[in-house]
Amino acid sequence: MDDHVRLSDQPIESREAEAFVGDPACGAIATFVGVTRDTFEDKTVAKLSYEAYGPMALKEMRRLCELARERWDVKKCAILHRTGEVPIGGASVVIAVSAPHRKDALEACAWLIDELKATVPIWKKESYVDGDAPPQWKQNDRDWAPPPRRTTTNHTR
Amino acid sequence: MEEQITVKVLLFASARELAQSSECTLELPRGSKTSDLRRALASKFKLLDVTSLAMDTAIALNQAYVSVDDDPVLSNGDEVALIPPISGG
Repeated sequence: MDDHVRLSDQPIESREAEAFVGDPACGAIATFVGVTRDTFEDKTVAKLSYEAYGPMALKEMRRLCELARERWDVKKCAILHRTGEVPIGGASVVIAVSAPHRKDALEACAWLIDELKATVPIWKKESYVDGDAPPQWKQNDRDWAPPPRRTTTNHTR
Repeated sequence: MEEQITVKVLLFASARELAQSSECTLELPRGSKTSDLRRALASKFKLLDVTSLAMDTAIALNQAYVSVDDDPVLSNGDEVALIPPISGG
């Protein structure tokens, strides 16, 4: 299988994803690492934790890999997402894509993180240092609605 | 044929906290739709506000999103999840 998707409550590493997607026929590996930030607006973040609807999240991640392959000439995709508490500065998500040529790898990787944030059922809760604000569940899109079952999109980047 | 169906309901993130429960089973009359399930959940968990359930929370049926325009009939043994606004990445 050319896709590798995984949820983990342990630290995730870009080299795991890159090692998986490496292929002799590919001249490019594009990697995205999402890292937890220590501030939100004017508040100082004390900790972050992620919760996932595991089986569905993995299904959606696999589906995104398949859609990426329909759209770009990519060889392998890997998506790793951390769950549970993630220390500030830790990787929360890693995406790696290999392709014969860099343009496909870069575009597919950028598309995958955008789509992951819009469709994969994972939630992040931020807690702030004392006095800043109560903990809150974050929201990627202000207008959340279940994503339609897209088989094609007019992606024009 | 049984008059009632049983569905498993999973609650996540803010929905889980509001309901103070991550999972429950609901018995519904045969022929019930996802909109009926929303109402049943709102009355089961008094803390869940019906409006926010209707407006902000998506539903996944057997691990696939239900489009906002859809209101599918539920079957016995279905797994239904309340999906509040997501924030992965």
